[in-house]
Amino acid sequence: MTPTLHEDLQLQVRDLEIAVVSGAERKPVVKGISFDIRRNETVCLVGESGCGKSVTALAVMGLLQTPPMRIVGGEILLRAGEEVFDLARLDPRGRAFRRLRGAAVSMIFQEPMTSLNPVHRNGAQIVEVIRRHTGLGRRAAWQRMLEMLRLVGIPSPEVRARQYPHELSGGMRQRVMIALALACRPGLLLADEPTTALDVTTQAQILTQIRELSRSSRTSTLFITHDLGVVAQIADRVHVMYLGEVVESGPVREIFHRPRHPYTRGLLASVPSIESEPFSRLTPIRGTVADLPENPAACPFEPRCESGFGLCRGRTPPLFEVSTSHRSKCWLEQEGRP
Amino acid sequence: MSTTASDPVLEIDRLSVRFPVKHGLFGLGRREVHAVEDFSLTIRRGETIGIVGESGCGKSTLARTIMGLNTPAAGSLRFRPQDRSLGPEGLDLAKASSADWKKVRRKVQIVFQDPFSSLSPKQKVGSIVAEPLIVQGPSFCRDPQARAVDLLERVGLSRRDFDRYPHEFSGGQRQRIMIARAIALDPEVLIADEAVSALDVSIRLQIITLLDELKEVLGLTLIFISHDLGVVRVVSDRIAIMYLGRLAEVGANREVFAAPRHPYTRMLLASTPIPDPDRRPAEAPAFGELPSPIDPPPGCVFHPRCGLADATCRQIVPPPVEVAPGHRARCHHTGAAV
Amino acid sequence: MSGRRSGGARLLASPSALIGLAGIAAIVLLAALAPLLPLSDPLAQQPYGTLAGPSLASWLGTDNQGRDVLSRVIFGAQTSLLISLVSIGLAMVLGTLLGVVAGYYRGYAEVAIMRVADSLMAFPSLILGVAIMAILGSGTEKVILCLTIVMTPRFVRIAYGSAMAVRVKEYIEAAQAVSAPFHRILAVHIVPNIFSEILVVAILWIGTAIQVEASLSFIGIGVSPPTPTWGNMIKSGLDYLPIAPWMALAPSAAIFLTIVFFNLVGDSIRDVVDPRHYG
Repeated sequence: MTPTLHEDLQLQVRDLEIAVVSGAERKPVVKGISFDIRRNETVCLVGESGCGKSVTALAVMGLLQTPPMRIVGGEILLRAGEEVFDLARLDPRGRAFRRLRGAAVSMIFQEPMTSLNPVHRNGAQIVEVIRRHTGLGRRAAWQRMLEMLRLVGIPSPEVRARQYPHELSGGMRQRVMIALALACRPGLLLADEPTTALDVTTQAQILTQIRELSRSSRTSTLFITHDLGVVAQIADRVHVMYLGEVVESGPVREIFHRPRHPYTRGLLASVPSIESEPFSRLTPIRGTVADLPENPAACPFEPRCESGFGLCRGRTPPLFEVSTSHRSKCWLEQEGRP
Repeated sequence: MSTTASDPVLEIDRLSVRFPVKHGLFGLGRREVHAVEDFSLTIRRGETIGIVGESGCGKSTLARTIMGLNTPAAGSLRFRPQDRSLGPEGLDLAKASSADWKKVRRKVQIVFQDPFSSLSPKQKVGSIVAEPLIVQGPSFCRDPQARAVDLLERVGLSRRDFDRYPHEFSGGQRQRIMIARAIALDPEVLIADEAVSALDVSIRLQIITLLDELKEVLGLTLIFISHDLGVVRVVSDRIAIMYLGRLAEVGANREVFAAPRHPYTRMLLASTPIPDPDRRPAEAPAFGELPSPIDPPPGCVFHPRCGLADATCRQIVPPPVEVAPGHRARCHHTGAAV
Repeated sequence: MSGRRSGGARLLASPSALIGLAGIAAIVLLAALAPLLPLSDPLAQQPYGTLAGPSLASWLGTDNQGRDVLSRVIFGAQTSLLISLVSIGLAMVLGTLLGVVAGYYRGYAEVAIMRVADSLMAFPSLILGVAIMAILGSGTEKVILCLTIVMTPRFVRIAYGSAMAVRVKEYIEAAQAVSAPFHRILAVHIVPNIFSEILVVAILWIGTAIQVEASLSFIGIGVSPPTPTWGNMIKSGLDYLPIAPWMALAPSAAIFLTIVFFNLVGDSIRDVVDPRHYG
């Protein structure tokens, strides 16, 4: 049976479960998350280290470290032109997936040096990808490459194209990565902490660039970050992750102006910003992610939660609908509660 | 915040730190990186001073030089300049002997950025915390082990942690271990060099709060080095902005944020993402990249990225201009409208 | 993180480590207990029993002077193991110290130590050994000294590289920041963090040392006869290879097995201490 996808959607992840499998042991890292990305939309996965946000992106890209990690359930439906693929069932090493990678979905990482080949010139790397996926001739591909470098804001692209990755600054390398990722006009761009290693003035430039590019090239973006400031700058919709689960999701304004889940509220209250009052006592979230509830069936955030009550220690809450677009995985949303 | 300008604890005067770099064929050519250049700043007893800048601005070199881990090329670092028992102008750390250093190190301590590489993996936590006490010898502390246990408890760890190894701890806990070690000698000055940058948001605030509490209890002077303006905003009495090894601007927290007088400060502020989706900049608030510290631009080092730059800026290094009491900026155009 | 087994436990879980350890233990025990075993005197000649093939009386036959080959292989193990273990031990201590000093202090110490070490390393071990023995003259202590000189530069290299990697770690700076003296930084911070790496190569190089020692004895400039070593046994056995192959094969097999056992252990330790195993 061929998978189907609503025509508005570029990507739909349903009940995705990823686990570290060693022998008979299964340690879940992503516990049945669902989200979708509409065409031409930027969706942020936000959370602290170990929440499963990067693993989710790697799974979409077919780059999970297998073994020990494995998709153990759910589906990842991706639109590629007229077709729809379930990436969870596609062999990541197979030909079909290789054809999709770079053409229908591509990814940029925190450290661009890991994805640029140090022994090839910047331009040649982009030309190679363009030719592999489009069948353009050498000269046409070269022109397209220069156009991409110009588009991502690289000054004198002819010179930069002939240089090697190590001759560029961190910010320039990240721009080359973005040019490489977008060279074949993929429908979906995965960006995993692309600005975390950059300075704030460079980050501001790159974020503006990504925003403009995704608007002009009609690319959907899955943006992964731990930085709520960045989320506010780039997201259309946000999914907040905690310990492998999506605990709250909604449009960016809802999340920032009307957060519902205690974890989201805690995060927002604990981020020092340039507009915080000096010496204002921000309230840290107590404990660490290693604090797990005694009852494995309880809400995983319960040990750190300020508003927990009896029910939280008994059962994990489902995702409650706060409004048509806003969901929160918290018992506080249960009807009849204040 | 009860600081009086008359009680300086450290007077940094026209400090320059340079490192030789090899380049060219067989590394025969020698050039210098100007990591810190003509930097003056007076740190007052009991204050928290935030030192901000992007990577390569020399803020960590400055910290290491204060700790005696680098030797300055020029200038002086006068510790307790009014304490005649140390010398006519206190003790100049730039010329201190190793015996002087052993004494000074009781008074100045540092917490590093990376909680994973700053703890020796083969050393037990108790030994790490007791190390400064053991080095100082029995005349300083009779029972380093007992004191180490006290210190661990003071930073929110427990005596059970004494015999454990660093890899058993999370990033936040490791940073607590480093802090326990840093306060072991009852220092007057504590340098936090990007001490919270590697931590998750929810943990970051816990560590900031701990530092703040210790500052109150122990009467510390805190030098808080960070690239994150938001963090500096909430902890600092005063803020110093560095660019390419030079001091760009220094002043009271509120004043620097409310009325920045150096164009670089304004660029930094505009580039820092604000966690509010309703306030996205329409266009990139910054342009250009950090020039090489081996070959800094002539005149004002910021002029290639500055919208106000003119012929003067390209030729003449701007002197510090006192724009308001205690508020200095090194810019030819401090009077320019924003 | 806390659920990890200790390095020792993981080592003992690997079959190749167990085989290696058992083999080494057997060889060392045999060598150490040789005087107590019911073996004939390795030096006793039997004019009427020369070049006898393996039999119940002498399991590995006798040599050209009628001496029991099994007894000589086992007593030879004493000399060979003593020489290689002592020289590797000395080279490890000396080399680690010099390498760490070079890697930590840089500057002149680095230039002096590393230039000497590199020039010594430029010669193949055996050639260097021959040259040194030519100066020193033969004898067991001389061979130990010679092997120590041959092996030290290798340890200098390894320790230098590791020390360079470790010295830029912030925990070293943190130690300097509390005025910890060099001997403390060396003993508490550098050596414990590079020790496992050095131990692995030390174990692997015991095999090399045995080889070099055997080669020196083989060309007649190592331990002088009649003291049996595996090297001089192979040398004298070579002349009789067509008629009494056991004379050369028995010590060769002993060298081969010893090297294999040490390598099995060394490789297994390497797998255990490999940084990828750290959590």
